[in-house]
Amino acid sequence: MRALPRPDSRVLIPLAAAGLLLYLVGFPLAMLLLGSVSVEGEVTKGLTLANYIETYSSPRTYTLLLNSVLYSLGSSLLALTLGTGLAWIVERTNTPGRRAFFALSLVPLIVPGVVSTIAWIFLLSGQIGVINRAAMAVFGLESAPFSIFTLGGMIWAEGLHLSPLVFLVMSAAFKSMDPSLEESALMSGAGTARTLRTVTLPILLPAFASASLIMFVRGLESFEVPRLIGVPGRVPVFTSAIYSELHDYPPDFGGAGALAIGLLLISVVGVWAYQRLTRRAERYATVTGKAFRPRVLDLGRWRYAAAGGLVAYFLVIIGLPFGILLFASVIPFYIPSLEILSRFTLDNYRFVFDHPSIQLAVRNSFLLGATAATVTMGLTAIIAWITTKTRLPGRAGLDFIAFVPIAIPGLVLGVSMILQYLSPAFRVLPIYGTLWILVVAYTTKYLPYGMRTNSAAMLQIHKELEEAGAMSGASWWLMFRRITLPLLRPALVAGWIYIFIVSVRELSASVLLVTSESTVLAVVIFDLFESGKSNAVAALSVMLILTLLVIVAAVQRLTGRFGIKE
Amino acid sequence: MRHHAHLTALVLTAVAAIVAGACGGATQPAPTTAPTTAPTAAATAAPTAAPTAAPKPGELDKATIDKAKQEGKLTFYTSLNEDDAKFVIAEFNKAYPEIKVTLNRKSSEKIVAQFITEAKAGSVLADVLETGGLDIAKPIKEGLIQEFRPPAADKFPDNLKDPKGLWTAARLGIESIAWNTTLVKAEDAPKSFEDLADPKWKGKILIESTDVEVLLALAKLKFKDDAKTTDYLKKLAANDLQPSAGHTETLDLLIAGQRAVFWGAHGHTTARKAKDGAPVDYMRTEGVLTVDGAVLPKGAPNVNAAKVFINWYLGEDGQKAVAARKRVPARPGIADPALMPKTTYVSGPEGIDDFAKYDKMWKDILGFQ
Repeated sequence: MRALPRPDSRVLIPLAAAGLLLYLVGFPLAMLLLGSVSVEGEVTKGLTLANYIETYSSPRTYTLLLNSVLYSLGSSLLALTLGTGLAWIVERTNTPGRRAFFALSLVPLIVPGVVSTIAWIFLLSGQIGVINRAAMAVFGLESAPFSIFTLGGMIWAEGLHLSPLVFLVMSAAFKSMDPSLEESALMSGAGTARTLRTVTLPILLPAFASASLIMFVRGLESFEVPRLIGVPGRVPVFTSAIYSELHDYPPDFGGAGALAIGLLLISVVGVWAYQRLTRRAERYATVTGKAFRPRVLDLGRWRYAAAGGLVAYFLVIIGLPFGILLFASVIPFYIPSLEILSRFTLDNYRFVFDHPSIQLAVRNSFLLGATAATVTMGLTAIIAWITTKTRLPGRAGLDFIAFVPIAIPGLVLGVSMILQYLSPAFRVLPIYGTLWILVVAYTTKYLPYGMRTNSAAMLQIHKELEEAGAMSGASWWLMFRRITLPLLRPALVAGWIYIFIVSVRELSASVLLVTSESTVLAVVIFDLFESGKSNAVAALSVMLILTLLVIVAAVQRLTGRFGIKE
Repeated sequence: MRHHAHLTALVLTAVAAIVAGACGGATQPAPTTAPTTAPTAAATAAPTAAPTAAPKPGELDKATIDKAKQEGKLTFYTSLNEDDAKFVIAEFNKAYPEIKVTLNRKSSEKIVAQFITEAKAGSVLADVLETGGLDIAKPIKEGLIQEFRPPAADKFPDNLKDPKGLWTAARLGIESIAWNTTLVKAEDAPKSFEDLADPKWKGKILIESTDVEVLLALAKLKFKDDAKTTDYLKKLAANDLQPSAGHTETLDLLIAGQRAVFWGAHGHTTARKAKDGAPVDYMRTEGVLTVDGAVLPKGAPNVNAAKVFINWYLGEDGQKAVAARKRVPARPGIADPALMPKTTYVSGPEGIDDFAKYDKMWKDILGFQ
């Protein structure tokens, strides 16, 4: 034992991380709050509570609230059921073919939201849906059995889109779980089902609660599905209402701000519930100094049923929309008939290859995604350490602050960043017009995801390991780097992949911050879409999916399946 | 997107205002540099200012052009799509190889939002701003635009330029009714906006849910009467419209056969799809023309280059470059006549003043939230 832990890094690094967090979130939050209490959203016109009174005394707000909550609950339940079930099958059973599933499960995440939503419309619309037409032909039905333009249709499209995220978070949790408790339960005569219910699931509570919270809020703030399915289905939700407030002239920024703050409060209640639920951290600490190997359950004959489940998920959730995309990518325009294949063409692919800004954007997006994911996961790992492993006063506040960006509309974030980095009064770093401003934007926007993934995983790590490190004289930084981060690895990788992917897809804030040189993929896709090149976008999506599969498969080989080293 | 576009921009302006207000005037307001440039510009542009060689009609004086070449660069903010904008710039560089153009291309509401926010943050980076009329109205109202009457637009009709010289039309958008030619026979196709009020179209109409600008133009220039407009909209609403978000997305749904007709479809995108062989066509008997204006920001860093660019853009060569990309140039006599509707209703930036009224009518009667 050489000396006591050096106090400098133990205090300085977490403090710096907390400061950075405040810096990132503070400005956009202040703008949102100020706008919501200003006349017509402009503080120069005076302060008022009218926005709140008007918004929350209108019955329409409660229709929106009800729709939003039903939509979010429905889509998060669907995503949680699918994602957790799949994660369990892939991580903890001996189902054949489960290894190949990991990469495939990420496909729905990379497809641009507008593209996958339209693919579901083409599959399930009452008039033109391929599935409806097939079902009507096969079963001799008079009318279409499915209708996408309903609340149910919205839940379906969003829930399936969210399920890979649950899968990522939950498989990380399954991997980090010491199976000795399960073994003890089994040894004491509890059956598999009972062990699952009384031991496995309670231990996974933080991860599951994290995933539920993210899913719920993600549903609340989702935009493409409410826009493309909710508008035709006349199911208005919070986000479509905020969008519409912003579309009035004069724009009701005050009203939009008041709605956004409502969204924020709902999210805060979620974080509070999560903190209550997981407050006795030591209950979940199953990652200790002892080596372990996650136990794989022999499903016996049932493993073929599980494999069948994987295949069904793959065919329906990934295969069908991908099929539509592939079909759309080789025809000049989409019509729901195979006759159009007589006009088979590779022009869409040629267009993608020949378009110089697409290559630039792909390079920029991948670079940005990787940087933002690394910075966000690193920063939130430290913040999560503060909120779960210390008794620092105000640590719960940090947890809330890290969650705030989830309620800040992307456009508001974009505008606040222009002001923050361009106006002489606030400018700290000369990054306007460069890729760096996008790194800052993505890091801010995805703090909540990094935070939830990291803090859930941090709860699983027993403090005895850090104590051991400290006892051996390691500095805090050394201990954090050599003990905590490696133990967090499954969660770090899961969160990293997710943030990487959502950064590549981010549009609403990016669109205000890019220049022709710093353009990104989502912006280019949006532009192509707007200028009527939807079939070229389908071709690009197909290429992105294939690229993603290759990358993930390669990374999987290199890192031994992201797991704790076996 | 142009129509729903402008509104988002406005919000962003509001946000910008909050911050500008919040920091208590600590930022430098954009217009500080403007007063010096504007009068000079006016003076040089006047024919009397060039006693030696008076510029030919439609051209700028030599002094401005020389200064522009000295500046040697400009930044062009536009909602023209990227390929088309690059084509226009390349054509411009054939005439003015000395002036390097930096492009910033975004959808209409976004480019305006960025411009306004930058101006409020104290940095005008754009030399030329060119985008949808209702969007361009916003920076004009905010006092961020300076007067400039491009000589090339001398012969433009009054509804294509601002009497105060704050904007000039550069491009037009055709808003009409498109139909799926598999589902609608040529002889049954609608001939006027009123045709879709007929109950025979019940359950067959797609509509972009934020297309208030079309209603606004019809109310002011076709019906010229709010009672008639309300009546029309009610009959339309009785036909069980299917709202949809985004013009491109809605056109794709029309082509795929979701419904038979699309109220408010964009003419030039419909024509492009039809040229690719898609089963779609649009009404040429009447249509709304939305105006995309070109403006010169106050405090533009390269004000002379900006003037040269705008003047070239609105002249024969620039407008032919627009037409070459299958778009509709504003300059009379250049647009492809095959694209143009016979009767047109021109909706310019001034429409913004009536927007709230028709937006309310739209939402109340059609029930869009």
